[in-house]
Amino acid sequence: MPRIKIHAAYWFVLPAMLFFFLLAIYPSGFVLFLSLFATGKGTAFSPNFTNFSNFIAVWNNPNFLRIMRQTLFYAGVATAMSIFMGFSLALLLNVLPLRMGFIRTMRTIFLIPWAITPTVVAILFRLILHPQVGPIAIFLKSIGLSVVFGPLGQPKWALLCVTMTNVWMFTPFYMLMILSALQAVDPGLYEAAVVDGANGSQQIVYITIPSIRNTLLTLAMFDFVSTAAYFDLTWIMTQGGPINTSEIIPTLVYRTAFQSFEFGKASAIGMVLFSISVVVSIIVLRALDKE
Amino acid sequence: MLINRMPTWQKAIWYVVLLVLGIICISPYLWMIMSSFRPSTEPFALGIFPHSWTVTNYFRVFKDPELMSSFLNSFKVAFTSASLALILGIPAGYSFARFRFKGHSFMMSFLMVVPTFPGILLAITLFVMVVKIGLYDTHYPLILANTLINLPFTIWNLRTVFEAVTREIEESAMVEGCNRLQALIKVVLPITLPGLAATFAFVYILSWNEYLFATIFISTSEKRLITTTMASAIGQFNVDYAKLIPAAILSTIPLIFLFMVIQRYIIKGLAMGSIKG
Repeated sequence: MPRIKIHAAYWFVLPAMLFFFLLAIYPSGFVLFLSLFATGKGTAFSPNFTNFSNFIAVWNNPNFLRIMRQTLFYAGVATAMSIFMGFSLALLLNVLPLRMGFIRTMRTIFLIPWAITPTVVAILFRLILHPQVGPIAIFLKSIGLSVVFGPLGQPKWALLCVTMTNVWMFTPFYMLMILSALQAVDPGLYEAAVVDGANGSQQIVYITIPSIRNTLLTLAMFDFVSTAAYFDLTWIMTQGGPINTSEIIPTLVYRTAFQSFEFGKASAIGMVLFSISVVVSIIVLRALDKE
Repeated sequence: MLINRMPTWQKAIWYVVLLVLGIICISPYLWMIMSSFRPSTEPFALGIFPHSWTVTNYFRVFKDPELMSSFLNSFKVAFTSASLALILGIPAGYSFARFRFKGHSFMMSFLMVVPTFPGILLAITLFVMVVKIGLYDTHYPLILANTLINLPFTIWNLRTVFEAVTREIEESAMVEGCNRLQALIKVVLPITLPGLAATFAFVYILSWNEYLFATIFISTSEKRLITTTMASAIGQFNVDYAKLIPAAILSTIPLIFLFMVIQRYIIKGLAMGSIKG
């Protein structure tokens, strides 16, 4: 009987694992191959080792460090804000002694930005921040201000606008995850703290945050890694412009691969991004408390 | 933090604070909904509500063959991707829920690592493969890519769905003479239908929302999906806002309601990656 069980278990997971092997493991090996061996343009490669020329080209690109800094700014600021705001909203929804129906309705309303198609979010904020047709610009004009309001076209503001749009869109997801972690905290801990005379903010600092520390760290890691690799929003809102000031690694990879057709070089840039993600993940996973 | 008692006036303040926060939070989208009802002669007038309400913008969307074919293409791709994810995910999720086997935890952690691989890198290799096989500018690679990126979530979520069912249900079916697969199909699947439907719906939503692969694998405009059609419309020099805005509303409203219905069935699957670490 146990032998048959083992067989069944493997047969059941086999199709999915085969699928992963063909479409995820093999391609990720292939991208390493491309970054090391492919030069020139187009999809016809002659495999010859190029002494890391693609990686050297990345390093020698004068814009690369600036784009890397922009990527870290985009992912870092978005992560910090999403986690902080997600935590605050989750805390409010979790502790306020209001009617359950009201809390549930508000939770659903807060979730809406996350349920909107990212492409539509990008279009929406392009419209809202538009210098001619945007509601903010129209309002400013109507009260007689003669400033041009078009932050997406201004080098100083474009990256920050995309970052804020990202925060608006993804905070609900982190709120939902943190809320479900908060609900799993043992209420006995709070009761004990109240007996010891802890006030509200002391309870947050000494009980709530330590209890969900692993969740917060894992979510922050996931947020940072996935935002640093997030292409859609930046591409539709600014295409990396104006003059590359909102360019991030994913848009640079896209440009190199699908506009210049330099797949080897694009893979090398992408591998740098992926390596950073892996390092960040390892650091965070090490920092987790192991029970 | 425990708050058991709170004076009524404080409660009243919190009701108002939360309501205002909620309205601020969704106000950009509300603005978009309002704008979709403005007459096309003056799509961007001052004021919260349209001066006169009209639905002609929506009729223009329905009469636009390019938008309509994009909606249909998105539906086809999302529906097929979600079906494929479920076909592959049901047996795998069931196996992870019911059996302890060698490699169990390795495979589960593998599923958590897959989503951290940057989509843009996957796009490069899949693109090169797709061009070589000759599937460029078809919907097949898009369906496969959507299935691939959503399969880890599908398996996690279905695992929690199946774990909620007691083992005795299949065991009694197996005593009656069913094998494992028959017991799964005839007994377990019917009672887990809500969880299966919610998982299907979530993968459908995510596939409908997908943009990167849709823009890379498709070049012909009749084959475009709604996300790429809208994104290319906003990038043009003369944007037809009066048509683009209602199209954006039409492509999001049904999914928002669908999402509200299914959210409680997917939280556990989503949280698996973050809470279990």
